[in-house]
Amino acid sequence: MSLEGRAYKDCILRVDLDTGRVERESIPEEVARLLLGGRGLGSWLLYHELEPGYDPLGPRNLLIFVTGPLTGTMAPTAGRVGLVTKSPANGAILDSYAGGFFGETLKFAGYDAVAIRGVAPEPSVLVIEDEKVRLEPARDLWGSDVFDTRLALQKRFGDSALTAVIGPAGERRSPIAGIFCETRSLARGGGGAVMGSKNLKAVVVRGSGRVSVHDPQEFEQAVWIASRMLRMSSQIKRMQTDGTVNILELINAAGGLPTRNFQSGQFEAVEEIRCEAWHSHWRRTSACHACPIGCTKIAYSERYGIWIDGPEYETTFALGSNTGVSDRDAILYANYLCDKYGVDAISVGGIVAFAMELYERRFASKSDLDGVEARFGNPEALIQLCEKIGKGEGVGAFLEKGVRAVSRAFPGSESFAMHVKGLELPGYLPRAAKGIALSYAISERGACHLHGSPIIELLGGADPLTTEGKALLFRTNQLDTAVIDACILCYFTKFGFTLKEVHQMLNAATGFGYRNPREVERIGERITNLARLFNLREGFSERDDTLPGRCLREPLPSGPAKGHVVELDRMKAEYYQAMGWDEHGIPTLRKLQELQLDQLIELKDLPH
Amino acid sequence: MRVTVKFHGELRKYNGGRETKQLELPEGATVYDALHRSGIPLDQIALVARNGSRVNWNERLRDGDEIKVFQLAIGG
Repeated sequence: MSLEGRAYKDCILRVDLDTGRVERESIPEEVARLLLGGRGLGSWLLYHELEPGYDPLGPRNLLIFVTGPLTGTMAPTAGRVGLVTKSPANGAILDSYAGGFFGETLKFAGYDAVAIRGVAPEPSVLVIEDEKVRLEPARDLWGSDVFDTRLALQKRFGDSALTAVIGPAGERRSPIAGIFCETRSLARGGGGAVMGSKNLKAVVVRGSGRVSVHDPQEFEQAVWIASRMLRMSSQIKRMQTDGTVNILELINAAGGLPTRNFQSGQFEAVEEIRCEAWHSHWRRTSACHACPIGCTKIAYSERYGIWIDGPEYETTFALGSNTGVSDRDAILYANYLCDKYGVDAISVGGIVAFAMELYERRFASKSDLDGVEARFGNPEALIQLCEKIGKGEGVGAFLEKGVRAVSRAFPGSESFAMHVKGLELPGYLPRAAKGIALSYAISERGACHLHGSPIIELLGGADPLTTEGKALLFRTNQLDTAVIDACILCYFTKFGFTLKEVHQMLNAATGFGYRNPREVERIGERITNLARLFNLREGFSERDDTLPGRCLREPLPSGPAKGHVVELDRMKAEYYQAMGWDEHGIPTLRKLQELQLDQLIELKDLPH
Repeated sequence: MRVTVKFHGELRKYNGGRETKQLELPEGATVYDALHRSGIPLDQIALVARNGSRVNWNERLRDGDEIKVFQLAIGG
């Protein structure tokens, strides 16, 4: 029985940019049942088809856009798109997600995945209009920023076409370049550079189909329950009024708001950047496809005359407290520059903060930084550095390589180079939240808050300063999140409903007949193991599951977590054990067989 | 002694929509006593900060302290 009509389109679109050839193939039923779609399907394709050790910016790396079985249905938040590729930031497996409407449109056009390889002979746009797929030259767009490119494409293809574009940073193959889907972004890990390396300026999609499910009546009921649970959650309501930044003051009170390159966890000017302060900039709210949450805020800066989606909690931390800047207009403008040139704001904030500490501690001089007075808290320096990084000009061409690469040029700076596996840290201070610290150390794509970080630690849900039980807490979150990313739903649904509701929606949608939520959790475990195997095959090891020296050895100077460092080794050992891996973090054969991964990949390929 | 309680987000509904409430408490009162008097159902509370930093509920208050009570929240 085909998967078509059971929430899938049963179609992987393959595009070879070298030849312009396009092929379609079905998804093996076993792959769909064991890995769902989204992150699961994308990881499986990448694991299978990319030769180990291959250059992420080489022609044979795959750039895989994925949808999930729930994408395009009425399941709450199911409009997202995912990206899976090998990251040019670190050579690890990269998966990233964006809200908005691109994902549902790609599904309506008829695709569960679009796997792109090769290099187009000239700058091009991939146009997907239902079953019609073609490459169009886009030399005129090469060099344009994200905003101009989007406008030009809208003009050329009409308002109903959805776009995923790169800016100049992606064209330059910057490891911090993202892919921008309307006002949302697949930001982390350098997916934009992979797209740029393929001479692909944009993907344009128009879809007129619909998504059919296995049992429409049962599905409607399951969706109704899940949506109701989301709407009833008081935490979700808070997101509607105050966006994701609503937690900022709380995180600060818990001592977990990274400040001045993660030197401390409390920002003295928190009043200036907490959610209440942003109300004077917010003009509208908005929501993604089928989303009852609607966390998007649209802000205006009168000083700069610019509009921007946000700022989110993450961008406020990255460009605000972590650089010591409390000037809201400057934060908005810095965020705007990141979006305009097409770079990841979390990484940019991390790089700017690192440059500021290098400057203040005299590792770098003013002339090293093109004359920028890179002091913490200087809004002009923030803007100047963002502009340089975005354009790749002057010192920006060096800084855009990321904190790890910059640190190599300044011996002695390694301990405060805030990255894990080459990816800059997101917005929770590891020393003030031990479970989150563990998740940063383990996450496959590098320091990541979206692959199971138990953020509830800092929100009153657990004692953030104990290591007790954190391995299991992280593991549970990690597996849940992997399921969410395979469906694909929004991460925030976790705070409204559980895998029980996901289980009901999935069974009604696909007819796979998963026996219980536990079996659905298994899918998350399978995907997590697959990602681990990919990284091991690339040469990553337990040594890479670590944190910057600052987190491990510098006791926190102040705040509720004063005196704390991260006791990583114990949590790591507990986590490996909880995962059924050996003491070096390598999945055992028994575990892989138990997860039926032997049905999906060649076990002889496994690292030992 | 006099203590100021600040209500975060949706919790203001337990204070007639206002952000601030002044409490007169006996010497030796704890954070818990203040919470008890604030009228906020305890299961709605995610975290309590005193003068900007997280505090345990059994800690004693001092005259002039500002307590901020945060609701359950998510974001990121």
